[in-house]
Amino acid sequence: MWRWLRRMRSALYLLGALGAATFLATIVPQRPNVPNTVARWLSGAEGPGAPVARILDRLGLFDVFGAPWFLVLLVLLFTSLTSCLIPRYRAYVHTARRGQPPGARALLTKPHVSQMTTATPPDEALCVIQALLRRRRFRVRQVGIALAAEPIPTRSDPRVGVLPAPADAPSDQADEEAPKPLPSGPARDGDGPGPLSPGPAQVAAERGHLAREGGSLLFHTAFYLLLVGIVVGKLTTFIGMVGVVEGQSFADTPVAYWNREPGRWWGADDHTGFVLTLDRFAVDWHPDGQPAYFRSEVTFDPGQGRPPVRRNLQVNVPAVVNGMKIHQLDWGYAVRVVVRDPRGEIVHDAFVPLSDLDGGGGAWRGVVKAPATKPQLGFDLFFLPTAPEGPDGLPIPTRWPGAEAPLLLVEAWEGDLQLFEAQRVDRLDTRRMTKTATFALRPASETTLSGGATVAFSELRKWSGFQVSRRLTDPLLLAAAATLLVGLLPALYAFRRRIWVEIESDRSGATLVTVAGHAFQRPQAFEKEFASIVRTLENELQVQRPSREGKSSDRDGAPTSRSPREVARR
Amino acid sequence: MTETALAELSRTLFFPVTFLLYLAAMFAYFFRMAFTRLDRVEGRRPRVGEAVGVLGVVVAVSGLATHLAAIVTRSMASGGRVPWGNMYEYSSAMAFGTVLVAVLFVHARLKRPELVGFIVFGALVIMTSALFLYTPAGPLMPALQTHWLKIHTFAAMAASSVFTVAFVFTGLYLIRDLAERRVAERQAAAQRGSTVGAAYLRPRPALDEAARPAHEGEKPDTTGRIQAGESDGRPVGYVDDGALEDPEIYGQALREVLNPVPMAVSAAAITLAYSLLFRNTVASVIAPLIVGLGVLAAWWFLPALPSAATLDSLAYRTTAFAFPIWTFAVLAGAVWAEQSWGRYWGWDPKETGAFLTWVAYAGYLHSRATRGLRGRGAAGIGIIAFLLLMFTYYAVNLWITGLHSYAGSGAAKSNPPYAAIAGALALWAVVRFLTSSRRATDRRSVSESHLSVRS
Repeated sequence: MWRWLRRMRSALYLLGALGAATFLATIVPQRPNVPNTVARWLSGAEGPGAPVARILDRLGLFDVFGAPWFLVLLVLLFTSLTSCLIPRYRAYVHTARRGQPPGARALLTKPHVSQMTTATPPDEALCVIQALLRRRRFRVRQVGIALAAEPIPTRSDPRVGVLPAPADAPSDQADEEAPKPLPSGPARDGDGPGPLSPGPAQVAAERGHLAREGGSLLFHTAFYLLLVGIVVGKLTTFIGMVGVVEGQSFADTPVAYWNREPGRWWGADDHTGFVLTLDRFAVDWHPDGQPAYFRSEVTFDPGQGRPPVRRNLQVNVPAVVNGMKIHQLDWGYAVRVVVRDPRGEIVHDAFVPLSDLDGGGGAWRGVVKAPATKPQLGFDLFFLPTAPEGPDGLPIPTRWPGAEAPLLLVEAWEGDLQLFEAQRVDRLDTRRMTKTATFALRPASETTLSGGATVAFSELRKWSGFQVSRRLTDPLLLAAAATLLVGLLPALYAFRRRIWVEIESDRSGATLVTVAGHAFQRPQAFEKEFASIVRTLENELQVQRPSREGKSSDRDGAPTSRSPREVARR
Repeated sequence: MTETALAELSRTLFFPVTFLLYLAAMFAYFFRMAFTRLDRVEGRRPRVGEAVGVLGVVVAVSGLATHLAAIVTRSMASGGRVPWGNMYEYSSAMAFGTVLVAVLFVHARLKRPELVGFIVFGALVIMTSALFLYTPAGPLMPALQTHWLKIHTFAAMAASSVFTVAFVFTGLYLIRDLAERRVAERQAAAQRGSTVGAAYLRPRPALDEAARPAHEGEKPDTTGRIQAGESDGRPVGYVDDGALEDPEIYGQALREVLNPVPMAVSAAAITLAYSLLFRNTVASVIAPLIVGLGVLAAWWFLPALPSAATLDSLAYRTTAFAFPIWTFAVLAGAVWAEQSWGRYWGWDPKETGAFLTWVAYAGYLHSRATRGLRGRGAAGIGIIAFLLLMFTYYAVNLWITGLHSYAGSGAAKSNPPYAAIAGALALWAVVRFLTSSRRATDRRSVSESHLSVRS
């Protein structure tokens, strides 16, 4: 299992499974997001039909991200990630601390080769080359023994270099195994046990590996940060929803919320007890009924002796009080309904927050429950913000959301409200009730029911819905996101390449410099870099006879990178 | 000028003119390939091809200019806001970005004009979808009135444009790769008398950048044609088919080994299944036709395309360019969600879709480092990733209820016709089945016809 998890292919399978689960979650409605749609799927009113929906429900597909198998998938993915990362961390630390670019044999077989002859003495050339490569931020190492002063005939002929050296691993394979010291050879580590026949001095340089691999590691590590952030966030987060009617207040205490989702580590004393007063809620629409803005003008009293602050909350503009973040997320009309029993005593006098029927703001719904009378009274409210009176005196409903001619339609019920059973706040349980009347009210008007009770629509205001939340882990998550991006760029764009330079003295006393290069990624980008390095080197070494231009069909005509075959042919 | 007049100007003048210019540019780029080839065959300098090529650039650039005018007037008409506030504007701007990438990057920088025509084709498809999503110019809804609209949406749009280009490359790669493989197979079959394992006579070097010989980029072809006698022109790792060194014969062979009809029909069937989601009859007819035609065009221009290895590398590079932008878009979206809805991530369908697309592209990038998935496997993942991107954009916005459902055009929003979608997918499966069983017989006849041509 461990071995299976360590393979990249398995990680890809897991990623694929995660993707498939996510895809299902996109096309199948999810209970936490759209519970109503899920209910409609289950009843068969929507979607592929009730039997299919029941199977989906059995499989947990209506709440994919809360399903146990999703958790298992996630755990497997993270295990796989960990098992891949640990050896990579180790190798990375090793490379960063001790890793040296390995030397190479048979430079002329490398993908990029260039040769030049110069009058500069070998050891001076060596310094120039090392300085140049360092300047270009390569990690440079001098391989091989000190330079032999006298010419070495065997190495002067390029053709000799092409022949694979005996008793040596094929150089390409050796390159892949990163910083391991190569098998012994004359031009290898000075302390190698190999025969010390004098070879040319070699400079090996490498660049891009630390950036690329480091970026990749950073990118993958960010997922652990994200994971920690999400898990700790789940435990410490508090989210509460509350609606406040204009002119009224709300205090940050556990009981005041309509709806509260505290994390496990959130205690009642973590509430800071600020008081929020909604001074005004402003909303306006464009002529086509699209909302133009929503604005809650709010006064916060943070308590603890600090002065109150006024804020305007808008859709994308939350406020922070005592570390708690307050978003304006919802709004609606609130009607003040006064119900008097036949004796004239007030049994209900409160603002009833209404909820939008269809999201368009043209029709609203709410409920009044008056349990103090006998029989108990209940009222279903339907509110039309704009329903002007037509020529015949009857109201004409429009879909306009602004309250220009408000009309409250009331269905009166009497009987048993069944308040001792669990029920929704915004619905009447009419199983034990009978409808007694249906009537319409304009603001500041009232109606007397047949039993003598009166219902008055005394005032119209608006309410604004706030989410109060506290997430301690948000900075951590932001940091994780930043790490992710910062790591991603070098992981994708930095590329690892090696350059070897061999210097030897000619029979004629001139110095022969062989430059070879190999890019592990992005060969096109390296081609340009290699060309420019060779050009700079030629300038600095004052090459008398610029290395053969070559008929290389290079687009920018740089005198570089001939194919090995071409070199050998010369 | 009043705002309505500006909006009308954008809709009735600049947008259609842009569409026609892009169409003309696409044809010019395609004709350029065709003429260049004709001239090469007759051993002349491709003078007509060059002229048509210049014309294509001019037309494409003027198309970009009128497109910019359409976008700017539209922005002015809606009160000077950013011109990507709804799906019509977003699609239009995405097409603009795609063509811009095609002209500036693919043609000017990469010197691959033979690919521009296909990318412009993709942009035209996006613009056609914009026609169906037309929304009158107007101000933004309150949730969109923030700087995050500029940041998040622009990043998503830019990434989508580049992903579109990458998708074109990947699609062309798959077709070209299939053709190259079959030619190699048949070549080997003709030489050895057996087709078994013919494509794998030689261990195939990995197709990713690391293993590609460095001199691959040097080849002087601007039309992507196979250069006679130069091993560079031929894809790496295929059997050395000495007899097919003549580019003309090789190109013909590439075309003959593939039967374009089943490919076009399958692509059209998948598009049909997807477009049925939206219950728009016109779109359901047009979209599969267009996509089918695109596949046919890709088949017809097979000889002019760059080698499969080059296409694969290009696809990888464009995807690797767009991926961080997409990552940024998703992360910026989470920050915006925190500000606007009070939570950074809520598995809203759009968030889920964006995450899914991200996972798919991450899978694509990873699969190229995985033995056995390089090349075609990776390309398949790339195709799926782009389909998911399109799903996240169109389907999630139009068809699934969520916080991003602000199409504004009142399209879709209904139950998809499941039966018809299943039917379209079944058609795709049948076509796949038939073509895979016919391959054996097909192979023999074509390779024979080739032998006769050569001898």
